[in-house]
Amino acid sequence: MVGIALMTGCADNAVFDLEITLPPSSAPTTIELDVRPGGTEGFDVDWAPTSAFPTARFELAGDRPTRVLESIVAESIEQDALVRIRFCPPAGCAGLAGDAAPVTCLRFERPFHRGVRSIYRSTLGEEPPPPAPGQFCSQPPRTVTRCEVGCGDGDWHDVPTNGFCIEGAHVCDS
Amino acid sequence: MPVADVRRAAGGLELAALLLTAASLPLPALAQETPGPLPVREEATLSVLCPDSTRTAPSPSTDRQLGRPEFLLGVAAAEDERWGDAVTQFRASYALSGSPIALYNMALAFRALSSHRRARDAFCTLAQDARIADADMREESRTLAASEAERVASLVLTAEQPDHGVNVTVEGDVIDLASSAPQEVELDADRRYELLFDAPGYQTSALELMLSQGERRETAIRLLPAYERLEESPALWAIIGGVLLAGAVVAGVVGYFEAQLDATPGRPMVQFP
Repeated sequence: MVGIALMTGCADNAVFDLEITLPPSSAPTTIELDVRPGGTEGFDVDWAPTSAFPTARFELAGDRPTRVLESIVAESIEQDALVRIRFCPPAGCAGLAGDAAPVTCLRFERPFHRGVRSIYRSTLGEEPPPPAPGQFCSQPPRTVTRCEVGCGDGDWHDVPTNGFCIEGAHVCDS
Repeated sequence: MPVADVRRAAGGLELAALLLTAASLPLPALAQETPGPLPVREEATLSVLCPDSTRTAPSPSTDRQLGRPEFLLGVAAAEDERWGDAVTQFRASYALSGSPIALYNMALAFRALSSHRRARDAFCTLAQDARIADADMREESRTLAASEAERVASLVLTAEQPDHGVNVTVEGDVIDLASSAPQEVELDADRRYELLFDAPGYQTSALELMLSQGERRETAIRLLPAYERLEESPALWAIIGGVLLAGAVVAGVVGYFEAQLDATPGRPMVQFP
């Protein structure tokens, strides 16, 4: 009885927080951030925003880095997360063809840990990739491994990190 | 914020010492001679802060090459922020050499991994054992040990079995919980744990929990008797029925709606299946 009662104090879902810093832009730019579960859609289709997966928008500052944020709540931890970052005109990418704006694509390998708030912080390069005609990602998607996503309150939060595994086991699961 | 700083000196293991300074720490200098005993006031503070098991450390080896390859691998891993690998290599280097810098770096790697209990223990060893660390390193270690100790929580377990102690397994470590004598187990705060309980003649049981910073939780462990045939125990059926009923109510109403993690406030969110 005691065990059951205490077990209910632990969450059985997971949260994955995404924090990506983008460099200043000389041209007015709106960032459109979209995420999808890995098992439903790939990067080879145009992602139309839905009520379930709305697009998050951020104005890119011209004089300082801009941080784009997303918090993903998941019931299942056995899934990837797909992320697309589009560099759009100030009015957004609505009405543009899917391959008309630079797009950075990221695939996170199973970033979720049951009952844990995991987090990935990183900084992208100086320039967005040039648009690639006929492709919904301007470059091949980069895969972020499970061991590059951390958790807890360690001092690693302010830097890009990897190596959150010890002898094959992720520290978030210990 | 820089997480690594390189110190270079001359000769031996310490020559390429990389001291991870995640908190912009002043770098401790290596001991050149054996410092005197700690003042009484400092010992009293550390005795509260540090477990007894951290009181002594192996004496540093006089062979400066011992543990050097492992140390350099640890440095490389730390520079790449592969903290898990860094822990493995610095631990091996410390086991071979007894070098305080290897132990210090291992502690900082644990800290970067949010493994606060292990980081505190390593800092405590450095802070208390004057044979291996000089005064500056001990002072730094004392400060860091105190910081890490704030992120450690306590679970006080009591076995209710009148005739047996209970073995408690936490992350592979087995603790002998004597009958009726409470025992305190330290856990890292904000981390999910699964504890296993077993005793001769009783069924193995599991408990999942996560404690917050500074929390001290008391829990009584009551195991169910093991029967060769389940139907031999009417009382067990009654207990199971009660557990199912109470568990369904508690888990369904309280557990699901209140214990689920929420999206981080102040940022866009999406819900995955």
